[in-house]
Amino acid sequence: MQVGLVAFTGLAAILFSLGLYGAVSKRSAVMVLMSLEIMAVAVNLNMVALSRFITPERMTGQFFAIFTMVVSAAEIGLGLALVLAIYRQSRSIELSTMERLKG
Amino acid sequence: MDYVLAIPLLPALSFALLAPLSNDLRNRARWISVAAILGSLVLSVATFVSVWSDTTALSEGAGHAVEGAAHAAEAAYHATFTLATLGGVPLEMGMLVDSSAAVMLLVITVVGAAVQVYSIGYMHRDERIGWYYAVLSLFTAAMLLLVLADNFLLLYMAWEVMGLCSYLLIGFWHEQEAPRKASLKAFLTTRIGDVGFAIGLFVMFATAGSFDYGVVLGSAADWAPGAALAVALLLLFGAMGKSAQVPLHVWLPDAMAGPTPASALIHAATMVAAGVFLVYRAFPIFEAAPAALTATMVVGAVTALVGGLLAAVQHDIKKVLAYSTISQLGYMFIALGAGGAVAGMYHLVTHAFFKSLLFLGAGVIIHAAHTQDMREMGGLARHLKTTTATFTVGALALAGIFPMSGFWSKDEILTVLWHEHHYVTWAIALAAAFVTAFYVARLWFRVFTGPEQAEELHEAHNEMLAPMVVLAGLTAVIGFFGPQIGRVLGHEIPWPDPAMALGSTAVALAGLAAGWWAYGRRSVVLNTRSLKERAGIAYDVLAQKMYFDVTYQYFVVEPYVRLATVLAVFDMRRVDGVVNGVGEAWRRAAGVSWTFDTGVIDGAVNGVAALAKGLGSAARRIQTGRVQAYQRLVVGALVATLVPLLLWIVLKGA
Amino acid sequence: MPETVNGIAFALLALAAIGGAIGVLFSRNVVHAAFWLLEVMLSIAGLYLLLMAEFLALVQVLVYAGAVSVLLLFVVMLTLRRREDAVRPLDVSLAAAALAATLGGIVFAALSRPWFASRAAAMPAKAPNIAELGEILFALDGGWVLPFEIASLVLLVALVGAVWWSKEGDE
Repeated sequence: MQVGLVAFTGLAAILFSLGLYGAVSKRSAVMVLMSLEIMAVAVNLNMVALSRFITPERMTGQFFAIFTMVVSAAEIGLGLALVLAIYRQSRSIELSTMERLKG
Repeated sequence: MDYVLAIPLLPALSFALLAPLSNDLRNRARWISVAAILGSLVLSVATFVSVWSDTTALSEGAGHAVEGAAHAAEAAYHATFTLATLGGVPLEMGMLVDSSAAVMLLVITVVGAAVQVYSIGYMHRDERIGWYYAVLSLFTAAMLLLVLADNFLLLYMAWEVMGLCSYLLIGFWHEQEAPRKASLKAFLTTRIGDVGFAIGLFVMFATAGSFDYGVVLGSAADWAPGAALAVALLLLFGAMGKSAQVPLHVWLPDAMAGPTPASALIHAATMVAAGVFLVYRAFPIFEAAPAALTATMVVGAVTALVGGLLAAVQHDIKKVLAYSTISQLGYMFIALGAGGAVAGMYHLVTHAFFKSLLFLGAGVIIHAAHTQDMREMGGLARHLKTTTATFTVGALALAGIFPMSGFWSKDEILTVLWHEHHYVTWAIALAAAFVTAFYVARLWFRVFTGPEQAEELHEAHNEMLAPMVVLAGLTAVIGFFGPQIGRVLGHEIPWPDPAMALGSTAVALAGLAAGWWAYGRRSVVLNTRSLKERAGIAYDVLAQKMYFDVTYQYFVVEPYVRLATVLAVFDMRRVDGVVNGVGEAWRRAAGVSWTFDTGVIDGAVNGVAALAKGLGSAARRIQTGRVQAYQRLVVGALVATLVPLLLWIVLKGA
Repeated sequence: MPETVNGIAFALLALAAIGGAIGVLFSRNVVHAAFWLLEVMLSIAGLYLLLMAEFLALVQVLVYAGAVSVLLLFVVMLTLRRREDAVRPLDVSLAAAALAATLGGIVFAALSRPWFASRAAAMPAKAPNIAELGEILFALDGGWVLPFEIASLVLLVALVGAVWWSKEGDE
């Protein structure tokens, strides 16, 4: 059976949704970051699949994926450093306690 | 002769300069007034000389005296211009210098100058001497304008200004009650006359179509008899008010509450003579209505007698002189009414000089004796030599004793009466002459003879004596110039008939003797109770001023005051009601406005603020500070955007 | 045959990925979740191989499985005070679920449109290899050199930032 584009994009959609769910509902900052990673991964998969099926010679999707990976890596590095800093200050990584910007 | 314009202008300028100044400055600037009147005096003399030479030339050329009193000499000078025209009535300002005007100018300025010089001494301690001089200036200007006027309207306007000045001067010492009441009484009484005068002017204009002397007097002979009579009587009424003829005489005695020099000027020599002058000017109208002439004579006769009788029972020296003035004015009216207009004018001139002299002397006497009551005076002759001498000259003139001026003019009037066959009036005039001499003697003996009742009696300062001496001199000699005056005025004033002269002198001497008998022979203070008892009811009536004041008070003043009060209360209530009503309405309106303001406007403003706050509060809830909430919002927004987009794609079948 | 292998391989890898994601989300133990994430990364790498993106699969393993997951584990360990704290109750949010489902549904629906389906029937046989990837990457015209350089800058900035924030105390 031929695995079509729909399969890949459908998988990416499911993964994205799952990641979104986690990002929106998890209490721990670390968990949220993990969920964000899932989302990033899903997006990358989506792009690669689309590129592979539609314009394989140009590999645009792959390049995009490379660069988003770079950004994503940077993001998680910084994000975790932030989490550590917050943890050092307030001994907690519960998102519900980080309300200082409440207006 | 354009300098004639300066004659009333100088005193007017003096007033204009003095009036707006502060009291202090005015007091120091009072010399301006004296300078002004002296200037006017000089110019008046020049004018008179000019007119005199004209008339002399005229009569010599014509060979005989020109007949007709008021329309005598041709006008020496006439200038006029129209100020404005109000509804067809032209307001003309014009100067007319004819013989009577020239004579009057001289009289006014001479007496005016004398009074102002005298006042330097008499009023020198008064705090408001500056204002006194200012009003004197205004008065003088008004009187001069009155005699120079060339139309009746201007005359009337000057007339009114004089009334105002009289009010101001009588009430000069307004801190006291008597002057205040007196000035009001004077103003109101003369006002009654003035109303008649004004109505007369209306009729005059309606009949003749103008106020100008030339037009009115020239056409008077052609008027309907009714119109002429009406105008003449109305003008007479006005003259009666100003010249204090019975029954409008009641203000003059009370007017003595003002400063004595002012009384000398206004209430002896000039203002009260304005009525006589008015009749003199309007004589052609009177001639066209003989009944008016008769009325004038009757009024004059009654006044002459009543004035004299009342003068005989006054204790206040000034009041004696006041009633005396009333009486003498009556003489002038008699003369006018009898057709002897020039005789009346002649008496006006002589009276002006000797009466003002008497008043000025009275001022000195009062000052020396520190009282105005003659019963407290005595023996002044020994101490005030000059005053006694000058006063005596005036007194003899008043009594009509040769050779003083009063003798000549009074005789002239008696002569006219006899010639015109007004025998009854002639008798009354003679009786009045007797009474006049009587009260003159009474006054003289009381004041100058007998024991002194005052501590110190000293003579007046020179600036007060000098004018008196001048006036006394004039009084003594002017009688001899009767014919000259007659020539100037355009009617013969002959030397009196010897019979008449002797007769009147006898009457006068008899009066003096009676006065001497009653009041003269004494070495002790006089007690006249026995006299009064003998006079009985006659004395009582006279003491009550013949019940004139009482009657007026009861029948006129009190009802009027009551009516005025009722109306005032009613008006006040209504006015109060209206004012309160308006106030209430305004308050309500303000209340509504306030409600609107607070409710609507403030409400709107507050509402906007509240809305912003509410929206803000609501919007604020988005800012939870929690990241996940924001995430949800973003995703939710995204979803909300995408769903329609998707639907669109699906439907379009892309 | 290859299609069938493709199909089975895809099915397995897909399940692994989804299962791993579910594991991340619904495991009580934080440490377990981190490991499940690792598993997801590896599954995705496999999928990349199926899509003949070898370089990307390699980078995926190196970066995500190797660095990111490990980093996450480190932080998890560092923020645990006691061993027991690792176990947390599940956070279940219906709103979030609904939201996620909706979005997922939309994406799915959009990507299922005929426009995609017509192109997507079969995977093209020919695919560039890594050498060609390198050439395109560094090609002077129409290449990705600039983004490459910027990407390195981004990494540098991130490095500096991370070092700064992880510093202890006032230094």
